[in-house]
Amino acid sequence: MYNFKKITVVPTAADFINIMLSKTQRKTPTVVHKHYKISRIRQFYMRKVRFTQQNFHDRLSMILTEFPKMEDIHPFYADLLNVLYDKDHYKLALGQINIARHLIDKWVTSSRVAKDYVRLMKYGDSLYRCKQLKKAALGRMVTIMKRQASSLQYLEHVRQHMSRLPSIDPNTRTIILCGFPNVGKSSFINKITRADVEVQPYSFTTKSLYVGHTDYKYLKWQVIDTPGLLDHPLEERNTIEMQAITALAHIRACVLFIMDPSGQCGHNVEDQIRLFESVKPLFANKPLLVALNKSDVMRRSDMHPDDESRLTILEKEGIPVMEMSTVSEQGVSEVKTEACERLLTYRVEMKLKGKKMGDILNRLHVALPKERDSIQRPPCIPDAVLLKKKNKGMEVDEEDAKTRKLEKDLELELGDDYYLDLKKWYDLPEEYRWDILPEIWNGHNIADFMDPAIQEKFQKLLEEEEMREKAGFYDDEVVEEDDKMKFIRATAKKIREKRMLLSNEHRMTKTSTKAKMPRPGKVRDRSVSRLRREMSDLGVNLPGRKRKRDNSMDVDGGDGFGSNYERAARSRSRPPLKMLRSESVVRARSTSVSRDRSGLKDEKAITKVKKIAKKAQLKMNRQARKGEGDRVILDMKPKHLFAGKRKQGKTDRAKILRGMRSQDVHKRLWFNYASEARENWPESREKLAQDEEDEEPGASDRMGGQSQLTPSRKRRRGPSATHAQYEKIAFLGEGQFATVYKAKHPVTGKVVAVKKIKIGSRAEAEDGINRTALREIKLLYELNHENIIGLLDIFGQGSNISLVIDFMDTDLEVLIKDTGMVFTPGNVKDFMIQTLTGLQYLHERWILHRDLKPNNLLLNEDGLLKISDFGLAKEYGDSSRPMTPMVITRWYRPPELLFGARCYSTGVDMWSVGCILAELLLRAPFFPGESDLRQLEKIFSVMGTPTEEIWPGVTQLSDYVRFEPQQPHRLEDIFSAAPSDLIYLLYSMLTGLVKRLEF
Amino acid sequence: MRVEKCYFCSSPLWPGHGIQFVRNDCKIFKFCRSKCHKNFKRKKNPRKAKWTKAFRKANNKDLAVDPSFEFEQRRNVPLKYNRESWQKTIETMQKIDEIRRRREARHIMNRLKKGTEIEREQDVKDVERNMALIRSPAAGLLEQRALEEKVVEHMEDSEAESMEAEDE
Repeated sequence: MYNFKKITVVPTAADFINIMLSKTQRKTPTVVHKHYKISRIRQFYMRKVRFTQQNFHDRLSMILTEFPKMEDIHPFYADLLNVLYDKDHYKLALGQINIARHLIDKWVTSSRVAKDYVRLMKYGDSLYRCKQLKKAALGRMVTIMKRQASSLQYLEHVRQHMSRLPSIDPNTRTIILCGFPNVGKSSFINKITRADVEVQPYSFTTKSLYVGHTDYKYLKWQVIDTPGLLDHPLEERNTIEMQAITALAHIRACVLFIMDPSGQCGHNVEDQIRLFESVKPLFANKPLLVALNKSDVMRRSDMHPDDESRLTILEKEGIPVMEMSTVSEQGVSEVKTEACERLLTYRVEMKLKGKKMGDILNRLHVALPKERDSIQRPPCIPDAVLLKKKNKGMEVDEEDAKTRKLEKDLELELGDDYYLDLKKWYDLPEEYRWDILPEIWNGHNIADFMDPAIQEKFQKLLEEEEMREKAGFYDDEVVEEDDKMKFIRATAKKIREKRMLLSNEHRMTKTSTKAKMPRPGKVRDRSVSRLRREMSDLGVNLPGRKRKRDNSMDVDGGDGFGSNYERAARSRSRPPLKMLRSESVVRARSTSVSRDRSGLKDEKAITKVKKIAKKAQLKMNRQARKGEGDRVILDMKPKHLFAGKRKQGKTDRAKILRGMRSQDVHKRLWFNYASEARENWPESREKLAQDEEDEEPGASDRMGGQSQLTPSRKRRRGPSATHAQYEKIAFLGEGQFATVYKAKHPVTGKVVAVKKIKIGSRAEAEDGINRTALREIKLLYELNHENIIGLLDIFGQGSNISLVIDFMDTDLEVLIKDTGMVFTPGNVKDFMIQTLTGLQYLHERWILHRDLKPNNLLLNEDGLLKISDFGLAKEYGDSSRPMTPMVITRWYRPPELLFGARCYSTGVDMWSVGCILAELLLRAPFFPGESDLRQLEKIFSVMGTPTEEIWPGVTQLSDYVRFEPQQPHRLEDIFSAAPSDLIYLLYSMLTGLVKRLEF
Repeated sequence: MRVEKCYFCSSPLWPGHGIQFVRNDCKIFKFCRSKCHKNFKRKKNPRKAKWTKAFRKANNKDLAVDPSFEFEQRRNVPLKYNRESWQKTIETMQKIDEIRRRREARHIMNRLKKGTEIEREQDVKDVERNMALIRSPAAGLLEQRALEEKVVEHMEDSEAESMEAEDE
């Protein structure tokens, strides 16, 4: 069968290109980098080119193979395609596609796009070039395809038309209808097949071939309806007519030439005959039939004699002429039958003429049965049936039936008394008929015993039973046991019981594989009394202490064997008659009742009270409390809740600020302090530096009260015998020299920090404890101020030494870093005033702290600030003793130390305080230098590079380095929000250089 | 209506009780209770389950072969009802049942007799061997010794007396 429906869609040129390129993009790797090996890059692009080429090739080949080749298909179809689509055009289009394929393909002569570019790609020396080559290759392929746009479009049209062609099988049994337009061909096909061909009263309703199928003699017949033909030469025929001609020419079928004798079609009979004659050559070697349609309008007999004679001529030629009417359906089926019949005979004839027929006929044999013998074998019919057949219609039976009473009649007759009694039909004597049979007896089916021979068998059984009885089968031979045997059995029973007891006991006590719970309170089960009991059970009377019930049997009175036992058994000595003086107690005590028993009547009451007490404690136990008064919270501030970064929403740490003391006092102090600085500022730098020292006494009124506390300090720090009793609560941190724990004094309950000095390496240990620790201890021991960390206690443990100092919650660095907390001017002032107060106290006592930084300013919950870490602190004032410049953390180190000055004084601490103040304002380190030189750079970029004029003697410093001269910045620009007095203060702190050095 | 037999345990299957299974070869299996049915489904052999009649018969626990068993069987021969013969059969079957029961009981009794004998032998052996469990071999030794001593003393005394007497 020819089926052109399966040809795949031919995309337009643009679509074609899109499909191909996107496929390449989808199906090939997409990532390539220029640092890849060049071979890999080449490979990458080569693959793309090859892939695209292969796709083009495949797709074009598919088109070429799927479209039918004119030469290969049945001439009917070839001709039809020619008529419809123009053979030349069709071939040309396919040829174009083929050429395009070759062009793209690599294996073809002149311009092999893919092959050329693949070859060129081998010389691509960079990703860029390879890519360009790929681009060019694909571009050329695309160009080639673009040129095929028209061919592709044409082919797509052809494909769509072809897919709608009727699927005509040129080799099967076919009837072709032909004739002038409007003679009733389509009406005829509609009548005999299920095809639904459009029928209209104008010509050329049918514009192409239509196919219908009909059945005749259980065979399938194909009916082809052709467009109407007009009588003109072949060359003038149009495409529609040519389709009909093609079908007539190439399909070996029965041709049904339909005529319209009435002339309603617009052509008279003569014209129609003429047409018939002109197309007659096409009917050669085909069964032919002429049908006169529209017999309802004009019958053959009514025709004009001339026309009639013409038809007669046809009939004479052997062409049957039949009448029919597609309107009244008269003669339609006859025409169909005749046509089919003719074609069938024709086809058979053709087949018989063919060469293959002989082979088939040779193998055919038709068998016919022969008669075996002459015996008649009629069907056997029972007599009763014959009789019944004979009596049929005589109604004898029915009368007979009437004589018997039916259950139905009975029911009508008896009415309510009727019941269905089936037993009356039982084939039994009358008296038995209604017997109720017992079916079951004692679990046996009575029917199972029903046996005609049961009596004989039973007799036999009885005889046997009698014999058995006689033979003593049922006699019970009871063996009488004699006394001895009875005794043995009784004894054996006792033994059995005993054994059972023993084994039970053993089973209970036997060691199991499971872990055994130690039971210290368990009473030892082995005892003398037990032994005695067991032995007596076994019939052995052990001599010795007699049990009371054995008293009567007692033989010996305490001497010999038995008395020995008795003495040994007395384990306790009698209480001595006299008492030692030391053991005697006062009467009050000896007669006193213990508290848990006092006031209770008897033992019963005591147990009851104990029970109640125990029950009352249950709840407390569950809460791990000693009692109602136990309100101890062991870990007030668990580290995990208070250390580390704070996330959104938690503001616990703000408590520290909240707890600060009234800001008013500080404000006042602050103004005093700043105004003094301001007054002194303009005159000279020396004066300024002086002021710096002077400003501290500004707060000294507070100090006076403090110093009164000093005497009490000594008492507090008396030799401590209780140091080991500090309870460690939590680990706080670890420094270079020490580990710090939070601890609690067990007696006072005071929370402190214990700083355990690391002993360090062996070499260090030889020299004693660490120098810094020693320094710290030495200094702290003498200091007592509200804003200085207090040393509460020192204790040694082995070679370790631990300092007990005030416990502080946090330090200033933490607060500065905590951006969630806002410092009000009051806060900053408070921090500074406390720092400076502490510092003043130090400086008054000729001590330089030398390591001031936010980290060393500790704070507690109440906002109290304390200066800590005296590891680098030193006494100053002796100019003959040079000091090391390698002190103070770099960011807070003044420039003179960076330049290596060995003679300095309180100015260094003031610089640090200035840095801290700046940091409090900026919330970031003011001079965060990464190295000493950078530190200087940073300082000078703000403060300006010092010259010999500003800072005499600076060039003489040991580590002096020349810097690019820079102009100082105005601090107002840096701290834009700060009031002018604050700027003055800051300035005065950071520019005491000369003063510092002078000292 | 019939009293059927359980396929598994052979107990009587009264009308309206039990369950039946029709295998795809039309064989019908009737079971008195779910226990038997389940066992059957597990392909257990009734001869191997101790609680079935089949086991008891196979292992000689019950009487298996006897002419009294021959009477009750399903005969697939239709018999026309006759009142006399039916009545007689009922009488006879009762007698047969009696005999059958007697014989079965006798079978069991005979079987059990052996056990008693063995028990007796065992008892004798036990008493010979394990007497110490209830009575120590040392029982009464002390008393005996004391008695013996007394006897000796007494004899000595009497001897001495006699000696004295002789001396006298």
